[in-house]
Amino acid sequence: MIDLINVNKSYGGENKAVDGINISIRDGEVFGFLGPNGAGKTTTIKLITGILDFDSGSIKINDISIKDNPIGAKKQFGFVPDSPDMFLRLKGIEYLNFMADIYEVSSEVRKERIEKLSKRFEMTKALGDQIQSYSHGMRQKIIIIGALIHEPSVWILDEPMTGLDPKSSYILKEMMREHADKGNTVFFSTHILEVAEKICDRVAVINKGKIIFVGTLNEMRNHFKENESLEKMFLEMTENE
Amino acid sequence: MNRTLILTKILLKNGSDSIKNGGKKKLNRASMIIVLILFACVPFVLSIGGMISTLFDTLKVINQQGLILAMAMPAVVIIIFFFGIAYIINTFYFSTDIENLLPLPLKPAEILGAKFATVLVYEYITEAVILIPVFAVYGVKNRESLLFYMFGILIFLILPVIPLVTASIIDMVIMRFTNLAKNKDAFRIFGGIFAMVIALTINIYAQRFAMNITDPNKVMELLNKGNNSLIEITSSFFPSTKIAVYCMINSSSLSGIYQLLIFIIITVFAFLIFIMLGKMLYFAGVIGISETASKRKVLSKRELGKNTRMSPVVYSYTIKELKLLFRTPVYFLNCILMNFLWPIFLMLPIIAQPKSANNLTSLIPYIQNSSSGPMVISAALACGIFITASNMITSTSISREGKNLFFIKYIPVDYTKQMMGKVMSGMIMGIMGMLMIIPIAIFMLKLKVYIVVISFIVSILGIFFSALFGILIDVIMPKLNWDTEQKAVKQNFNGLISIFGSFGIAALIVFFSVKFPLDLIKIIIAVTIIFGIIDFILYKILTNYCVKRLKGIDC
Repeated sequence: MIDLINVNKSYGGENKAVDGINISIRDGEVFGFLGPNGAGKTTTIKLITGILDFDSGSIKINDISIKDNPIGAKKQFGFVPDSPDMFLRLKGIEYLNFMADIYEVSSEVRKERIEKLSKRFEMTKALGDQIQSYSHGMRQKIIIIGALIHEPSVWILDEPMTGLDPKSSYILKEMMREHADKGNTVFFSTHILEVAEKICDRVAVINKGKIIFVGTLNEMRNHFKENESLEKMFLEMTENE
Repeated sequence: MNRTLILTKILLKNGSDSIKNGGKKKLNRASMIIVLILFACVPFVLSIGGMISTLFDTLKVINQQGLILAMAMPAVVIIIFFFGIAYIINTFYFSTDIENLLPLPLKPAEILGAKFATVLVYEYITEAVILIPVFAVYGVKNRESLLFYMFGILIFLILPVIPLVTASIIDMVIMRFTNLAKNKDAFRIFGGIFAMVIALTINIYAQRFAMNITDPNKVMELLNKGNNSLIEITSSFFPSTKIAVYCMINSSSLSGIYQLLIFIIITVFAFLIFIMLGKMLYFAGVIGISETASKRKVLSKRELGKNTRMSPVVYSYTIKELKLLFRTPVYFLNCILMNFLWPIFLMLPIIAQPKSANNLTSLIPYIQNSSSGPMVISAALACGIFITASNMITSTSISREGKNLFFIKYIPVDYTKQMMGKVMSGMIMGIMGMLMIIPIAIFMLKLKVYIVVISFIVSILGIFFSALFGILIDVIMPKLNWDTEQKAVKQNFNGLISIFGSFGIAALIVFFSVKFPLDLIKIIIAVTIIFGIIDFILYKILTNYCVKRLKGIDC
């Protein structure tokens, strides 16, 4: 569960990157966060994950405030950032073990999860190599495995499909669905409508820092047909890729 | 040609982004840093100027003042050559912009020309620190005409070209014909160590020569001997430098102009050879450079078990920092290797001037005398402070995160613990540096074992001090916007500030312990209390101010 209540963030006092956002993501939901490039998707995710500080409002993850109890809130989620180029000189297995230490996962449990996840993402042969030898998609996969190592109830993924091959992308979508069906929360951003169409229970659309729609995809289509300027943006998003 | 110029501009801008981009606030901070650096350089430039001035007076007596130019110019050429080898490999082959440049419809000559020009501009800075005081002092003292200074500017601009061309050609040949580059990290580390070995060798020769030059009789002898002098050694490396030297010395006569023309022609010719060879060698060496060796083998049960043991967060964080420091070539050469080289640096004067070993042996009775114990302890403390600061591990630890700084913000580990992980990595290498020195100290100074043990324990307070001081500086103004690791460490002023600062503190410690001598027990108590308190205060600053500051950095 993620709750954003009247969240504001501006850079340098003037340029409002996030403007009075209200979203509530329930348990058991795959929630898509849509919007064209530069709309404020990544900024919002940075606010939720504690990477950026917000000016006003409140953000809670499983009812824990990221501002008042940051460590407690951060333990609730697993986060996949939009750029997977991190720790390139660690081996895959070293990175995963480091993440497991950070989230205090016991030796037995981490070993089992690493085996299971790396098999599912076909990464078993790459674990012994440095991350810098990985392709973009493989880097994305190792980061995803690292984010799931503590089996967080909330998943926060920033453009997770970018660079994944069709098979891995399919597996990730499948996992997102399974995770939500167990009563957990999946929150992910994308600028590709097609991805959202397949798996999202609900979506929010952000443009220029403001939420312009929250609801199911069918509701969104009807909503946009009635509103011409929004329809243009909707087209932009569908045209993308 | 036009495209080469545009590319050069872009490459230079990329390198100095922290100064040019960003708002007024950043600009103010940048100009503050520049002023600070200039201040730091002033004593150095002044002392070079002073040294040259004295040397001039000595040489004037025997009418050999030209020797100053004949020494300084080849020295500059050699320094540029050695810096150049590492610099060129980094810019030509290992910089991240290569992957963006290769797909563009640019000729090798255009990329090479632009990259060469960027390196040249940076080398001018190195050159300026030495040659400007040399030309200025020589010009004024020798009452040279305006022509001398005009020649000086021209020579200044073209002097680095030939050594850089030579370094480039060596690099291009190595990169083209060895398979070592397949593992680029190993190659860079190997190349760096190789360059350092050569630099140390040159240092030994230079020290031997410097000792001779301080004695006027030796100078005469040296001039008579001819072939044995540094000038001849350096000139035999780059014979063309000789022409540039004569051109400066004869600037008032026709032969000066003639020599200048010859020097320009040789330089242009060298540059053309470089471009010609570059066409054949560069693309063949640079394509595929970003490939990394990998095995793609499934881990065995045992390997998996070994690699999935649970450890405490701070420990795991420290190990991660150390792994990255050891495996990233630029970090290894600047932050790690130094700690292991201290014994060599200490032995260097003795290798260079075997006679000084005798002076040292005469010191031993004094040092073995029990009254010298307190001095050894404060020296060890100063040593710990300086060694830890000079490895620059903590003073670049935030900067090295670069664009990935956001990582430390979303993981559920509080900032104090994360910073302590970084502090620990700096301390471990500082302690390593101390451990490298101790055997040398025991061997050369014949120190008593209990003094060594106490000194080592006390020095850890100093090591902790430097590590905390370093991270404090880096968290105030981290350099996060970089595209090659080199910029995070080598072009980061935080490291320099922490070195200068710690050097000052170390000097103060030595000063006070000479000025107010205490007995062994008292100095141990005094140092422990004083540094215990300072370290405690710094730690408190880390847990309060630094945490707030780190939290406030936007990324």
